[in-house]
Amino acid sequence: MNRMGIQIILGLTLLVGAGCVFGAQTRSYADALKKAGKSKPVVLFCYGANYDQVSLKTYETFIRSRNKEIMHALGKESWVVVPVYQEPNDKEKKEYEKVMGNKWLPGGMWSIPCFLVMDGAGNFRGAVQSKEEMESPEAAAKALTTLLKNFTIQQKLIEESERASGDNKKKALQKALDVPGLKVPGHKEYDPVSSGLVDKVQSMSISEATTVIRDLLAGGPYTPLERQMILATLAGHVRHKGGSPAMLRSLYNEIKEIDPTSSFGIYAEGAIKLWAGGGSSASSPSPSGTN
Amino acid sequence: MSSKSIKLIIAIVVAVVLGYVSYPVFHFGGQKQAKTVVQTPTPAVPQVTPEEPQPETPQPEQTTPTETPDDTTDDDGQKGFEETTAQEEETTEEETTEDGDNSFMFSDGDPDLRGIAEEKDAPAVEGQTDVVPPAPQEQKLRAITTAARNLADALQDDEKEAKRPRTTPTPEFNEEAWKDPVKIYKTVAERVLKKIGQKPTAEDMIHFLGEAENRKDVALISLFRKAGMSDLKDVAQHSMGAKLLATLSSDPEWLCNTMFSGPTDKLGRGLRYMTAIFSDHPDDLMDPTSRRIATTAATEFAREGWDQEGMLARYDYYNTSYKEGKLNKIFDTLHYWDTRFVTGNREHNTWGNPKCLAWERDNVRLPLERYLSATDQLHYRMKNAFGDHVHGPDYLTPVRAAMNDIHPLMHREIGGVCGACSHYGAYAALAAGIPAMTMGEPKHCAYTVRVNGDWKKGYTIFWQHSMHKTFWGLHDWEFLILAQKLYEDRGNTLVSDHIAALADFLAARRLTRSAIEGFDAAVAVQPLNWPAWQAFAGYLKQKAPEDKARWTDLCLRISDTLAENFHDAAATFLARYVYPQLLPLVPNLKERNKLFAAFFDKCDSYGVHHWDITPLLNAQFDGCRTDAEKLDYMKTALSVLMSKPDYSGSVLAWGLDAAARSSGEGQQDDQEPSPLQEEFSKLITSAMSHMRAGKKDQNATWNGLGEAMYAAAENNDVRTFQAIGKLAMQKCKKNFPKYKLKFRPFSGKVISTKGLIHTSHKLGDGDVRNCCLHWGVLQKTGGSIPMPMGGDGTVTVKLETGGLINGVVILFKKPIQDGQRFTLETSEDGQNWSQVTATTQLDGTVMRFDLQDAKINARYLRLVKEGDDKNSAVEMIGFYVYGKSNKSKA
Repeated sequence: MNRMGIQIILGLTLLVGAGCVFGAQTRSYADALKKAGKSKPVVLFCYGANYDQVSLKTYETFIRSRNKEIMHALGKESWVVVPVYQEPNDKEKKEYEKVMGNKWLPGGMWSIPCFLVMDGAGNFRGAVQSKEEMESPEAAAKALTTLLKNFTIQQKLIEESERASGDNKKKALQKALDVPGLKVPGHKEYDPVSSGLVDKVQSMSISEATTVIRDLLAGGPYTPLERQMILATLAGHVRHKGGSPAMLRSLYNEIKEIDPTSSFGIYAEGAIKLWAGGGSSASSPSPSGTN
Repeated sequence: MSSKSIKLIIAIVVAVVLGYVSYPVFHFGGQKQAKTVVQTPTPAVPQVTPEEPQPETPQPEQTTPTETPDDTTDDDGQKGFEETTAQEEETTEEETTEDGDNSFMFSDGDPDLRGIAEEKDAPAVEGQTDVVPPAPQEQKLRAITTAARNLADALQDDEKEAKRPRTTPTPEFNEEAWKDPVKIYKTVAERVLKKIGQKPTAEDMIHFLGEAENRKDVALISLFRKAGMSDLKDVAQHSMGAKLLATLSSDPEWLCNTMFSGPTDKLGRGLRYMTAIFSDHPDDLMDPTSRRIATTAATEFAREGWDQEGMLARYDYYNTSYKEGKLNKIFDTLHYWDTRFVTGNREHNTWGNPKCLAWERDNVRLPLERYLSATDQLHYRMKNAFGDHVHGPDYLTPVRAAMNDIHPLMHREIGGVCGACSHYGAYAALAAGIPAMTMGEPKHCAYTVRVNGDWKKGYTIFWQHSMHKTFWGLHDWEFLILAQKLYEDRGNTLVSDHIAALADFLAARRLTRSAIEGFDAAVAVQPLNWPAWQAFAGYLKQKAPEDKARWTDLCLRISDTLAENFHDAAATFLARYVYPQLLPLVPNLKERNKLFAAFFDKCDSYGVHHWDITPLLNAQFDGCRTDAEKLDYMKTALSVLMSKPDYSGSVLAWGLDAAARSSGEGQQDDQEPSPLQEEFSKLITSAMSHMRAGKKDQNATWNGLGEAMYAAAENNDVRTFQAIGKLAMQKCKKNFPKYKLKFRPFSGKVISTKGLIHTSHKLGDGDVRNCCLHWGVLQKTGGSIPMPMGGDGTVTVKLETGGLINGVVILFKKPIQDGQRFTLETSEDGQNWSQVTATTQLDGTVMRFDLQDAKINARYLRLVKEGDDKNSAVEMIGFYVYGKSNKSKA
């Protein structure tokens, strides 16, 4: 093959490669939403553009240098780079508006740099944003891949629930809520504290409280975290009422089994050691606040 | 296809691919984004050879910290409102003579406690020693400020210059020389005196400070006077200590920033801390940013009385974060004074420890403005899902070990209340190197973050803020803003600080006349220089305690300058430092009122921030010796302040309190008011009736009357309570509800209408301003008393006179929920209470207590809510006592 041929092949490869890997990146969020359509996710890579060296480094490593793992994780999904400015001047405001229009970044964004996963309707669904997830392209790509995979699964379940009715609707929705790391749009989060459940059970006996809480759980659908919190209310009540360690252990284990890695799973693990005969604790050997 | 064509195609393809996306541009506001650590060349100081024996790092004396970071905070940062007492603010630092004056200039407290450490061998100079010059004329002050302006500009430019890479000059006093600090001090002191002369005027001082080496000498003298000779000797004993002193004393920028960028109390300990830092990190001694971090962390930890271990950890955190590029770019722009807010943040054992800071730095990285809403990441939960109370021991216990006791993480996952939320937001900003702090509010915790030079508030509810980090021990919000404005105006403040330091030195050398001229000039050049004002007042008190002209001048100058924008600070200064000296020297009432008016004239509104005028009024009132003087003063104060909507409510409330106090603390409720109290009441009622009630002033009138009514209720003053209520109805009728109340009455007359009603619940600002509605609760129109039913909350009615009670009807806005239990208690004296045994008849919003068979005589009745159900707030709209009053019987 002569030199010319090689150059042609190289050129075409570049073109094809570019289309596959970078083709899904858009200039603006609006374009990304349009491109994604109803069922596909949109990924926002947010970074601090004028105040944060960590962000700039991450941008350089992940995006500007087209990191292979990150690009692979983004795959064919629509994505957009969002420069976030601190105390922006007019030029910087325009830069941001060019990408995001008049949209604010969602409340679920807790730290920058990050990847935010939105749905086609512009709802915040999930994020890759912790230090551990964002500290290397490999870790971020892994987390993003999982999140996007889960998005597809969850989105199907949501759509299935939209089509279904009665018990089937509820079942599909429950499955959607069980998909880890992602929020289901329109699902109103249940918090046993703000809803008054924690206070309400105080005047009840253990058996009454158990009935109320089991009924509530059966009513669903709930996210795993919500189920853990509802059970936490019962576990706390049993402890304060002086319930048996065996009963407590069983409740804490139930909480843990739902998701041992969540904060409530971790809490349950600690509580077993402290209060359910699972270990000793110098700081708090016996439950306090028993009424 | 020609090779040119192919290349062209490839070029187009590449251009298309690259052009498809837009690349954000790397920049920091148009500047180069890369931050390079500026390394100044190593100074020509003798180097420590490895063979040289290393004495131990001098450790600070083991002291009990005067204030632990958690003194008002529980383990999880649940901080309440801090009450600052005078004792807390007084410095307890011992005065020294031969070891320098550790507390003279920049510490807060009563100037009485501070004094000039005079140098024993300083010769008396004729026409100087103990000669207090007359107060300067306005013309002279103008000349001084004009002369200082050029110097201020030059110093400001110097600061900018100092940020550029430069060569550190050869030290005049090397490590060897520092082994005899006394000799260094004498050399520098003699040089200064030789150059400036025996009788320097303010103009001479400004001229003298025009030379850079003279400014360095003044800063060096200040270092001796603040650190003290024995501490300096101690530090110089250590090889790194001597190196530190040699480097510090040869670097004008570092020395100036160490001495003139905020408080320097306990500087001796601060230098020992710095020695410890640089012993661990010798290379950092030459890094300007590391120096800034070291100096501020060391001086703040020393000043606050915190331990060395915590200080070293704090230094490591910020220095490492800075070097690794993990801090917000704001940190690069900070000066020494505002770096203190960051490196000196309080909770070094909890929220401010390195692991918590690192977690927030890495997991709550946000643009500056977003830190004010970082609290959204936490759930407000008084009880967690397990039913454990946030103030109990078990709220976080099970996750502590697994979450490595990282407070922000634990609270984000489990929940918290205002303390945790505010600490989360503030410490996320601090972790990124951004000035921020938490602040107490009544039964609440909020925080503030500095955004673009402005301190913005987050999570705030009330106007009362008790700042958790202060420069001068004064916790009001205004003092934070004062510190910000003072140090922001860098040029003038540096000139003022240098002159004040020179004045301090001259005072120590018994050159009284020049010292006072120096202080005069220091506060003229920078009227916001709070520490200089304090030092001035302290010195005047020592040298001219009965010089009426001088104290009058101080009073008027504060009113003319500091009070222009900072009403609270000026009022605090007058009340604490000026009036106790001045008022006994001014027996003439008119003259005195004129002095007061000079201040009030500046206060058309609150100024920087809502503030409490009561301490100032008390200080002025306390200067009155006779009842006639008191009445006269009150009349003046009321007539001046009632015309200012921001102050009318406060002055009314103060007047009621003052009247109550003047009537004698031991006075019984049933006693007739004293003649003085009668007069006071008339004055207040008359003042209230002159309150404007046009549309524009309607809100101010309503708020003012509400505050006054709250005070009347607190003081148990039925007559004033009623007078305010009637006046409110007359002037602000629209604000009262128009209920059509229907209920079954008891026999007899309503005998509570002319009484007083008081709630024991802590009222927020909005509730206090609506206090006139409390009066409405006793009237047929109805009113409103919010009852956040928790703890021991009660609502008490004091009848105009006692009487035989037939029954009580209480009305609520919404139906009472099942399970809520109320009891009624009665008392004849307000001290001894009996629970009535009558059955409560509850019908939706109406609660009735039938006492017709009980034959109870009482003057007080109170409704008590049983239990501690915080979720059942109710609103009382009517409280009617039926019966026959003793008055009608008489």
